[in-house]
Amino acid sequence: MKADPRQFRQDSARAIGDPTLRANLRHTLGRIRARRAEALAAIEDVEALRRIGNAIKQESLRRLPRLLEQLEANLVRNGVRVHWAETLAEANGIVLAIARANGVRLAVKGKSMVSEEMELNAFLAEHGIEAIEADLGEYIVQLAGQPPSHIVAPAMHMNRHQVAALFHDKLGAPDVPDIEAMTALARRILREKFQRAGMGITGVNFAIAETGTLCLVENEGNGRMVTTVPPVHVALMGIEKVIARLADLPPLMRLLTRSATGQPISTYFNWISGPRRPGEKDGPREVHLVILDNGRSAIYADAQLRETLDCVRCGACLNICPVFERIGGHAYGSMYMGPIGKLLTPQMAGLGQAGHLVGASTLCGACFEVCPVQIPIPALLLRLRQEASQPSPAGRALVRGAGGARNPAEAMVWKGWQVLHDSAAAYRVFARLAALAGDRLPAFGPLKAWARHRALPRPAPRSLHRLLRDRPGE
Amino acid sequence: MSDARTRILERLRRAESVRPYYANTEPAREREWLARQPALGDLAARFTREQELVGGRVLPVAGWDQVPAAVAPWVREFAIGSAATGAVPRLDPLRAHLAGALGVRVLTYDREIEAQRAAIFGVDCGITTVLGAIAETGTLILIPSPAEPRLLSLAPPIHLALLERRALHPTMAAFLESGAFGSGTPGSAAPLVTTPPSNLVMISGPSRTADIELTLTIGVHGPKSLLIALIG
Ligand code: SF4
Repeated sequence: MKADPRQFRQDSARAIGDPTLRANLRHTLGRIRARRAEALAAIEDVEALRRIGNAIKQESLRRLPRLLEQLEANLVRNGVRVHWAETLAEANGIVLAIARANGVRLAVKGKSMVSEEMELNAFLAEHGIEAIEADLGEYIVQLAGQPPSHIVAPAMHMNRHQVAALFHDKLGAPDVPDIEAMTALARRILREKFQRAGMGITGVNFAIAETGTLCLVENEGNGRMVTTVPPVHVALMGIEKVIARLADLPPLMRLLTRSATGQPISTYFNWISGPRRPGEKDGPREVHLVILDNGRSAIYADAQLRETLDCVRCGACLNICPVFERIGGHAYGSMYMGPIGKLLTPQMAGLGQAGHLVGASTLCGACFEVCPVQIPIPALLLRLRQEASQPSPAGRALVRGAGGARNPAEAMVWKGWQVLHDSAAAYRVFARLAALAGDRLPAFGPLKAWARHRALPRPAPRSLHRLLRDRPGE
Repeated sequence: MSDARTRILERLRRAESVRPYYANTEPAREREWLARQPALGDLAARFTREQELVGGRVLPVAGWDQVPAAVAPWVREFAIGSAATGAVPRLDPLRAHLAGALGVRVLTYDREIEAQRAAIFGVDCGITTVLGAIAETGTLILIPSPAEPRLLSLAPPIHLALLERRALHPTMAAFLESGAFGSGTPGSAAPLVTTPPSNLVMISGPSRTADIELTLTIGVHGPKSLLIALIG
């Protein structure tokens, strides 16, 4: 399956027509929503906590260049090698160079959205290096040859029968939908890989500038394995992951795991501040950090769109989204899906590639209500819609591909609308005509497409102006 | 790649003065918020309840000298035939009891992993001390060291952790304020002055996943059982 945001219309229509997918999504999203609600109900004054989360991210972004430099200096002092990449190609090149220098043939991976962004597995495979996903959900979708369908639960679109058939097909396991047995099989296979791998690759949830510490949130222990057993650890992060202080961690963690899975804390919370030190018996001998831009600095330059970078990737906005619930993650054609994906993908890939994703929202506002760091997703979607249909005013940061969705016919309609409302006479004639045409409005062209899933408005036979004028006694 | 670094930082610096669109005046601090939360009550009771909710087992033990006898029932229940510890003198009485009366094969993880990998991955139970714990979430805090390497709490299917009651902190924030991580004062303007430990891990329950149908499954890559002796 090739991910392509330009296929959104077709892919979302296909997803809506897939009853198995719809049932799987209803089942898992129902569970995950209930868990989040329960976890947040157990603490008081969640709103104030969300404001704190938002304030921490705002403050970190305000000082972003200085914090990145501080993080780098402290990591280097701790023995970590720091690399910077402007583009995905540069980031891939850096990982490959580290792998080659260490003679790596097999790499094991923890969950990393940045590595999905880089399409790192495919890139490494082209260069003769096998990369195996160690998170169970990621392992399942990798076996299936699919991208993840959710940023937290990558295989949530599949049910146990589908996973059993996959394990039967790819691993020769009995085709029995026993979740424990399937998990045990993955454990056995991956334990052997951890021990053979020359390199471990992970993402980063938070990077602490004041100490030079990389934090990794996980439940399975794969993150620990990947960052402990192989001789080399490469961590990948976007520039927005840095926070100033250790003291920022407790409130962000409090928000992150409750919003993501409904847990008060994840099973494992790893703080990595350097490679194996003299005297230590295990841990990697080299730790590298790749800091990736890939369009983020352009997002940063815009005062409003900058809020996109507050995201802590909890997935709560996906879980609550009525659109995501109906189409799942694959239809978005991007590693970032759901409400946050509609913000990130067009800003990274350009509005020309992914512009219509910003239209795939009812603007119901549920995502904003659940977002632990209060990203005003609907307002940002509106802003991107505006960017898509008209070039930004001069002096404002431009989103790549701005104006790309500008439609001359639509622009003409709005121009006509403006003329009608500027002139009382023209408006009167229009209202009269509309009343006469009534419900015989011809549905063709864009109007027909629009009306396929909606009822066309019916102008009343007598306009409001007319009714008011003809009121008895006037 | 220093060019990429310069260009990225320059772009960010140019935009640094941009004022946020929605300015948030909330102080980025958890302290006042925490003060408004309901009291945690007895820390040991809270810790135990939270651990048990995520599938850990907690056993109160009066003192270190009671540990060998106290864990004997676990050795039988979990059929522990082999165990590994670090080179920690404090654990010698426990090791002697395991190897003697309980008939457990005991090995010491005291060489580099390259020389001991198969043995450590093959043992039934890893035994470690811990730095402390967080009562609110039932979380153990480990800072692996030359004496107690990381894999002891990760590779064997059972992890037996020895926690002193006096090392319980109410919250993660309280743990950080205790200064146990580095010697600076977290949260203050003063930067930490010492190098932080290469690895710190917080552990709340046995390894778990919910990646198939959001169904909770215990023991994916890490230990399947987490046993905690709460000492003191
Ligand atoms: S936008 Fe908010 S709710 Fe969505 S993943 Fe990011 S932090 Fe979570």
